Amino acid sequence: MLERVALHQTRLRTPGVSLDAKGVALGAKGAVLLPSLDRLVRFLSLYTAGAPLTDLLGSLTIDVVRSKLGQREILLSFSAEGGDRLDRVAELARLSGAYTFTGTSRHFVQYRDAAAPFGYDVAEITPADAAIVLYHQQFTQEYAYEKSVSLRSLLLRLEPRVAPATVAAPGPRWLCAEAGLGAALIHYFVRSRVVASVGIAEWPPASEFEPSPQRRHLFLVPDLPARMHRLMVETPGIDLYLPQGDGAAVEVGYEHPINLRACPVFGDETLALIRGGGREPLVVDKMPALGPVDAFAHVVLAQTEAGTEASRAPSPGGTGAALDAVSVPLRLAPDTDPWRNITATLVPRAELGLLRQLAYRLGRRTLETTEIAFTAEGAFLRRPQGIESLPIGAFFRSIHDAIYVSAGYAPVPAVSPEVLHRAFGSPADEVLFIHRDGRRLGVPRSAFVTLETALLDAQAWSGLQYEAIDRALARALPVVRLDATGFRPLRDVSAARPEEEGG
Amino acid sequence: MDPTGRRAEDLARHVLAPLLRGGELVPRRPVGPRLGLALGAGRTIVDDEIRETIDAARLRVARGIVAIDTLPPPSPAEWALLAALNDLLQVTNHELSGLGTRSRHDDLAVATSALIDRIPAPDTLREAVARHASFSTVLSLRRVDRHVTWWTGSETFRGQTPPPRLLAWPDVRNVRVREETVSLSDMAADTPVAEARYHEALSGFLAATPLTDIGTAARRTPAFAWSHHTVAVVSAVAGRNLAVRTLRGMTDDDGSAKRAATEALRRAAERLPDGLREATVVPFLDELEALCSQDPDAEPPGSERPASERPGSGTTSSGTTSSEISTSNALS
Repeated sequence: MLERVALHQTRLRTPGVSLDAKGVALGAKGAVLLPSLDRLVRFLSLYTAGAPLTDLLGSLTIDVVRSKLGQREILLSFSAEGGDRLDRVAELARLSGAYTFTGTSRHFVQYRDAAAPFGYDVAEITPADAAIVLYHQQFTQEYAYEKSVSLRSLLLRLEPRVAPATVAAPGPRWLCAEAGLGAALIHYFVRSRVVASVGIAEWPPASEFEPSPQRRHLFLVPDLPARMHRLMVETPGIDLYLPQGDGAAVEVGYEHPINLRACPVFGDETLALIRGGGREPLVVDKMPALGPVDAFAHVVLAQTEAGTEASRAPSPGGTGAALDAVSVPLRLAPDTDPWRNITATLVPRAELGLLRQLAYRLGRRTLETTEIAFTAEGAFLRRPQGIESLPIGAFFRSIHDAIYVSAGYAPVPAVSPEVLHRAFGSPADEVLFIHRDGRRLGVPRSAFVTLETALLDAQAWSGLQYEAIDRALARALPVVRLDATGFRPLRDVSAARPEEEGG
Repeated sequence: MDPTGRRAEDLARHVLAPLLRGGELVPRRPVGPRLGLALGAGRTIVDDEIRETIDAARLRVARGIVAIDTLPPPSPAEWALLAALNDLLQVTNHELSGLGTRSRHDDLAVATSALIDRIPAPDTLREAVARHASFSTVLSLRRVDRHVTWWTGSETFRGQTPPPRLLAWPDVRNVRVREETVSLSDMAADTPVAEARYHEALSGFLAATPLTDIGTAARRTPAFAWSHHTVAVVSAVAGRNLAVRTLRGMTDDDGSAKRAATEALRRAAERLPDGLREATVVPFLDELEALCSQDPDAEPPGSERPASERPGSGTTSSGTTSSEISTSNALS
């Protein structure tokens, strides 16, 4: 049984509980008794949504306690350090279905609430040798500590939930790529001039039968271009993470139930990559050394003057001279062959109106199979079955999956399309259009959307009021009802004749 | 809200809205030319419900003649026409005057004509369509007069409801009520205003909304007469198409009604100067007659050549006029 602490009361029976400056019964510690683990997560989620856990973290312990009846509950205890902190904890505990206590060592009494603004005191101490005794208005219970729960391991065990909004969140990204993809990703970033740092993280072998440790490339990209998001998210073997405070990151598309930024438990030298979809988190215990990806760019050694002279000097031994360079620029030459593979067209901006009108004439199949990308140069349209149904713009023929040249022209020298593709750097996510006027335009593949989607996106609609035909037909005819016009009805018309009045 | 705004809101609620959606139309205090012309400057109907009702009704009428998704709100000219219609109805209101003030009716009729004369012709076909959308139902306005007789007397209530005391004990007092519906063109009867003056004002009002004027050309009174408003509309190909569609819509595509309208239009055209008639009105009348001749129940025009052989008729073998296609884009 508990007694309410009265105003100006000076003595309390509960050991380790005293009155603070405001007269509230307060011990050195606060404790929150939660019936289950999910309530604990809810409590932490509520707490970290409004304030960081930093002030509690130093003294925070989470224990699984067991009553004499064998019931297991969660006891979260921390240093009280004043009533304000404990007040906030008590409010959030009430919200999450938990009880708040205060005490110092073994005996914890219920913390103040609206019924007892100065707190509670026990009427009689329970003689028990239990590790902890909790006094509440509804119960007095003894508990024994069973095991301790680490907050860090709890955070790592929690499954992140789906949050599509995080895909568009600004800021840096961590990228974890499987060993086979790392090199390709480095070159991709170098080629695309994306600023990134890279390192290799190692984990012990998954089993004793594997000889080598598991290696993954770890990238830190300060500003990942939006066009690459989809590629990174959808490519198997590459995981994209959004940093959540120091030492933690959550996979893009998911969010942790507890605000990790408010829980600095991972440290600067570690990195916990929390993955969604039921996968185990990846924890890098020691951060690998990161270096800029630019260090992997191709390097060309400049030929020294001495070397040049040496190579060009006539050799007394009669060895062959160095070959002059034979590289020539790529050109398009008119082609007399009949047109075939005409599968793309560039509609200049000036002709977009014509394209809009033409869209009304196109069949469903054409709209479904035609792709369009809007660029500053105009709209590029592709249709693998042939673009003849759109008789506007400058036509292109496909010579490679990713290369189109102006129709009626052929690239010279007549290298194979594969070689041409390699000469352009083999861009994986770009489609190249080589125009007869010399322009070489690269359009990201992700920019292409189906024509029907583009048409629909351009549409605006407005809801109209529904009106049944019979209602329209049942419309009453207007009937004039004459009414009294009041005093001086023509005062607006005035006594003046309209000639003067209107003038 | 300023007094002018209140008057405009009052007119929209009690005159324009009932005119478009039906119901009881109660004319307000006469507006006069000066206020009528100033009424619509930057005016928007404040009451959302009334505005939406009016917009929806106007759009429904406009869609009957042209593929259009929005109509601009009533223009200053439409507000002036609304004021003119209100004043025109007040001209026929016997409550306007008392003993010794009978001249008020004539004064108001003259002022209304002056107001109508000052309303400019539509600048664009869109404006013509908008005016038609607002006032297409004007000739369907009716007034119900009730003639009450009882054993010792009788009384006529023009557009008013007899007091219940007069209708009490109908059997004992031998009360009889005869209702008479009076159309807009006949409303001036039994009022101090000269009927010719009233018809002149009404004719001017109709001329100011040219598509409505052409659409109701078959009316008995006031007889249709070509005005600079109507001639301006039919002088353009797109305007002719709009006029044809209006006429077809307002005559319910009835062959005899269309022929009557065509006859009225042709009769009125004889009073136009030859050059103007040949250049503007005759092509329109030719199109109309071609349409009449295509009706399955229509009598073949005996003395006329087939419309398709007529030069400049613009009629294709499919039965639609070739110029109709471009009408919807020619509104501005």
